[in-house]
Order: sequence, then C-alpha cells, then structure tokens
Amino acid sequence: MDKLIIGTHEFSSRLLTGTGKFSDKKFIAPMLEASKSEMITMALRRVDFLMPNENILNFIPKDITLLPNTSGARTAQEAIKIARIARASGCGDFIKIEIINDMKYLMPDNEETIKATKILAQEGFIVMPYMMADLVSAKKLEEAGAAAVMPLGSPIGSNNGLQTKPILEMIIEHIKVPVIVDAGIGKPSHAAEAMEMGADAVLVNTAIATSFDPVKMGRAFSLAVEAGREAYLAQMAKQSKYANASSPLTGFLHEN
Amino acid sequence: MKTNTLSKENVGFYQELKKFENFDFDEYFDLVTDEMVLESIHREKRDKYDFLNLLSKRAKNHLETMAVKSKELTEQWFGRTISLYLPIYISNYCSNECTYCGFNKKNKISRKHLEIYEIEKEAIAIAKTGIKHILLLTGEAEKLVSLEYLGDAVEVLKKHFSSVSIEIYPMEVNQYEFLKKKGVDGLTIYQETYDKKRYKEVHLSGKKSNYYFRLNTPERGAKANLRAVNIGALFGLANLQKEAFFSGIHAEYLMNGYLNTEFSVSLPRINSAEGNFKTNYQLDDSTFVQFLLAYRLFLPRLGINISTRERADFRDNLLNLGVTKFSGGSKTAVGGYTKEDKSTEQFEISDKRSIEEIVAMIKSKEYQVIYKDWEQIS
Amino acid sequence: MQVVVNGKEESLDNDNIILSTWLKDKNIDTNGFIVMINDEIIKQESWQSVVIKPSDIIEILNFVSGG
Repeated sequence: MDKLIIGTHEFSSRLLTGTGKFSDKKFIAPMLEASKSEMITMALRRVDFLMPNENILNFIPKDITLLPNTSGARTAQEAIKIARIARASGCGDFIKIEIINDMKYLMPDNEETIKATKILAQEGFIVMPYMMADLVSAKKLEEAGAAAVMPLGSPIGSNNGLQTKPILEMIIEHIKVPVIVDAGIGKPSHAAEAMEMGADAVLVNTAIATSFDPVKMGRAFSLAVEAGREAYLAQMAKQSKYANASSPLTGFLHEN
Repeated sequence: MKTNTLSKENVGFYQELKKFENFDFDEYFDLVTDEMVLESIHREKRDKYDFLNLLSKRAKNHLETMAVKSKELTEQWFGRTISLYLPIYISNYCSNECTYCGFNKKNKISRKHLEIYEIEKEAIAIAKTGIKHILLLTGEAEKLVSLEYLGDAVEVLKKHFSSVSIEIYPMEVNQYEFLKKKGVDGLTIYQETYDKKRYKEVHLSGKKSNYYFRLNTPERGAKANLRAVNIGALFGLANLQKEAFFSGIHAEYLMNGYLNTEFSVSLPRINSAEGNFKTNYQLDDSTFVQFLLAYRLFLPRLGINISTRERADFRDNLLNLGVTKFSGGSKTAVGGYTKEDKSTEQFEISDKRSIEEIVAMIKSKEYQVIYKDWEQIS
Repeated sequence: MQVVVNGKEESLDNDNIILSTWLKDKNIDTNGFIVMINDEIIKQESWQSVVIKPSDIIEILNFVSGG
C-alpha cells in the first residue's frame, strides 16, 4: 500500500486507532500489532488520586505515533491549552483537535475548531482537526494550516457508517491535505467503502475496542483498509490511462 | 412431424413490431431535446424510448458522451475481448431475386458450388490462420443446397473448427435442430429491411419474398436451442432510423424471450459507390457510429459484430466503441481461399488485411483476441 | 497552606513543601504524570527542585484512554 504522509511524517498504515472504550487495556498492544496501525489517540485528564487511571502510555509500544486529542475542550481556548500541555509532556507534535459542546450527539464545533487550528498550526503543531463533514469548513481548516482533516462518517459511537458520504466525496475531491474519515465507522466494510471513495485514511476506535475480539477486529479493519485502498488505486490508474486519451473516442469521425 | 413454423403475422416478433408500425418517428424525433438525450445516456436501464432518443438527430450532438458510456458498458459486460471468425462461402447458386445482392438469380455471374472435398480444402487453408470459429454461407437454392448437403458440409467443417455458424436461407425449427446435431451452434440471419412494403419491393421472387417467415427466423433458431443468433438490418433499403429501431427492439424481444441464447447484431450497409444497387438511404460513418453506440446503450449485453465490408481504418476505430466480434482475412467468393480464378464476391471486401494483421491491430489496442469461445463436446 | 489541586482546594500541612516529596506522599504511581504549577509545566527532572508555595494552582494530569 502506498505511504500516508501527514505533515512530514510517513506512515505505512492508513488505519488510525484509538485507546478509548477497551474492556481491558491489555488488548491495546496486541490490537496494534494485528491491525498494523501506526498512530493511536489518547486523551488528557486530571489525575483522580482516589482512583488513578494507569498511564495509558504504558500500554502503547514505543514505536507507535501518539495522537493526543483535546477531548473535554468546549472552546478553542481550552483545546489550545490541552494541546500545549500534551506537547510539553514530550509526546510529540501531533494533536487531534476535538471541540465538542454538544453532549447529546457529540457533534464537533467546526467554528471553534478552525480558531484553534489557526493558532496551533502557527505554533508548529501537526494539527489534525476532527470536524463535522462540511466542505466550507474543511477548506477553512486547510487554509488555517491543518495537516489533515478528519470529517465524521456518522456520530461518534453510532457505528452507522458513512452517513455523510455525499459530503465526504466533495471533501475528498477538493481538499489537498489527507482526508481521514473519523467516527461512525462500525464495520470493516465501512472502512473499505471510505478508502474506495478516495479517503486517505480512517480512524476507528469504538468498533474495534468494543468488539468481542478486538485483536481479530483490528486485523479485519486492517485488511479492509488495504482492500479499499488497492481498489481505489486500481481505479485511478485506469482513469488516468483512458480518460485522458489524446484524442476522444469519436474524434476520427471529424478527421479530414 | 410437427413443425413450429412461425411464419404467420399473428405470432412472434411482429406482435411487437406492429405496435410501432404507424408510430410517427419524425414527430417524436422533433421533440427530443439535449436534456432527454443526456438522461437516456446516463440512465441505469434504458427502454425503447431511450433508444429512440439515442437514435435521434439530436443525439448526434452527444456522440462522444455516448461513446464513453458505450466503452464502459462493453468493458463491463464483455471485458476487453474481441471474438474473431471467418466466413466461408460454399455456394452462390440462388433462387431469390434480391435487388441489392451480388448473388441475385438474375445476375449473370459465374455460379459455383463446392463439393464436400473442396469445402474441406478451404477449411484446411483457413484453419492455418488459427481461426477456430467459422461462418458458413450459401445462397438459396434448395435442391442444390439441400439440408443433407449442408449437414455434410457442417460435419467436415467441425473437423477443423470448434464453432460453426450458418448464414443461409431461413429454415424450420426441426431443420435447425438437425443441423445443430451435426455441429452448428450459431445462426446469422438479416431481416434486410423491417419495412414490410419495402421488403416486397426488393424481394421480387423466391421463398425469401415471405416477410413474416424471414422475420421469425431468428426466433426459430433460438427455439432450436442454437447457442448464438446474430441479426441485423441491411442499412440502405429503407429509412435508417426505423431500421435501427426495429432491429434493436427485435434483439430486445429475442433476448427477453430466449435466455439460453446469446444474441448479437451486425450493421451491414449498402455502399452506393459499389455494385448496381443505388440507394436513397446511404448510412454515413457518423450515423453508423451513432447506431452502434445506441445498440450498446440500449442493450448492454448484445454482441456487436462488424465484418470486412467496412474499411480497415474505420473498423479499427470502432474497436473502442463497443464491438465484440470481428471477421477478418475474409474472402466472400465461393472457393475464395483456395481457388486461383476469382469467382464473384457477394460484397466487396474493404478490409483486406490478413488474420495476422488484424490480430496484431487488436492487440495493439490492448484487447484480447478470442479464437474459441466454447467447445461443444456433446 | 492552601493550594488548589486539580480545581479543588487542598490544605497542606507545611508551607513550602518540595513537589517530589508531596507527590511521593500520595502513594501512587506517578509515572507519566504531567504536573503544572500556575500554568507552567514542571518537567519530571525538576520535581525535586521545585517548591510548592501558598495559593499555587496545581494541575496533575496524565494520558488516559480516549478516541
């Protein structure tokens, strides 16, 4: 599979994963191995001294790229603060901006996300904003300096697949930075579908973490992403070969 | 033995055709807009009215769009393959008087009729080219070109070719069944013209003058369970758009009724420049292409068969437009593959290239040549 | 002295306690902790040289699971 390039980093895998919702964190490392995912998300939280959460980094192999998210932030300011803390702790320059103040559907706030992206991009972060699928916002994010855009397929946790497909198509066609479909991918077939459409990558958390066998499901998704990407590349190769023919199919009727 | 004649007007395809016999094609074509044409091109499944839109003058503005769609559909349903076959004429004696044909009984031409051993010699010469699919042609002279003679001819050809099709006078179902047992798997029969009145005018005598009998011939072939049936109108005898429409809906009727049979269409056209027959309905190249594309869009699974009647460069350009079958290295004279003294050709061959040259051309356009589509083993 | 820890008021016995000592007293694994005092991140190497003062606003964070 061809390499995924985000910012200046190269990845061999086009499947991003998340650490949320696992029944047991011990599954994370074997899931990463089975899925070949090279980038995983995590959140930043205040330590609860009575019930401290074990440091999630203990469960993630050292060679995996960390993608901290700004979950909990409801405004651009809060997201920026979280991003700076995450980077200062030494986990790298990647940041997934997630600004949600809708607690029912968990819809991201595109406007605040654009604000945060502008500032964080200027500070040298590799910004990957999670967004509601909308072409206008995607363009603004790109202009603001986002290294990728992450439109949702359907609401977080819904597993409803690519409900935003028509908009995703627009975004894929017009946005130059990598388009990573994030949220709502409930089945490997959804992932294959997104890749076949031309998405550059997908982020899958719920469907893998809550699966009965997250390791097997991780592998299933990895295969689906590869299948979809190969299909997309085959289609692209055919189109570039035949669609740009030097003379049209019926050109000969007008010759001499 | 009961024969299923299908020779009357109250059965078969004529029931469909007569629904459009008084249809005002000109009035309909006048109403066709660019939007209608584009909708017809991009629809998932196209019906008779889409077909009409694609045959209209208005559709000429959209040939390239039709071509792109046609190529896509052809590749989807046939892949990038071309079947090759070769015709063999074994007799040009004829009892019909078709005003447009070189073999017309009134024409003073040298008549030839091959003996079975001569047919075998022709077969051996042809088989050297690697061709495995042969089309056997005769004129109509029922005593000379008897069912028995045909059976023997087919038997000998089967020794050298895996697929034998016939293009001969219309027969009854039981006769097709007889020939099928001998090894025939395909039938070609052209209606010549779907215009009943015109049909009478150009078929002056002989058995061919029976319009309904001829019209139902492809159906009788399908009823006999022949594997492949190829139809078509001879463009040049009557209004071109109507011939294209009727041949198209004839194919649709057959495809819907006989799922066991593969159907294909040819686009033979009279060339005023040659021969003695002058036509008021000259099918020009761009309308030819339009009809080809319209057939493909209307019936994505219909084979499209182009013979060496067409010029080499023209045929080459048709490859990308939806063609699925080609003849090549053809000789349309009786004994044309072996005899030195040239007997009269049924029509003038424009594409005189050898099989090797045609194969090379097909491959250069990144299509695969199919010599043998099947092998009948029972 | 009074300080704010993770948004809550907390009373510390001593004035001026060393950060590393204070954390050790909590008896939990501090691996991966991110400590901020008054909006400034204190790197782990510096924990033993930083003193908590009255009214300091302390944030102790770590990375947890999330999507």
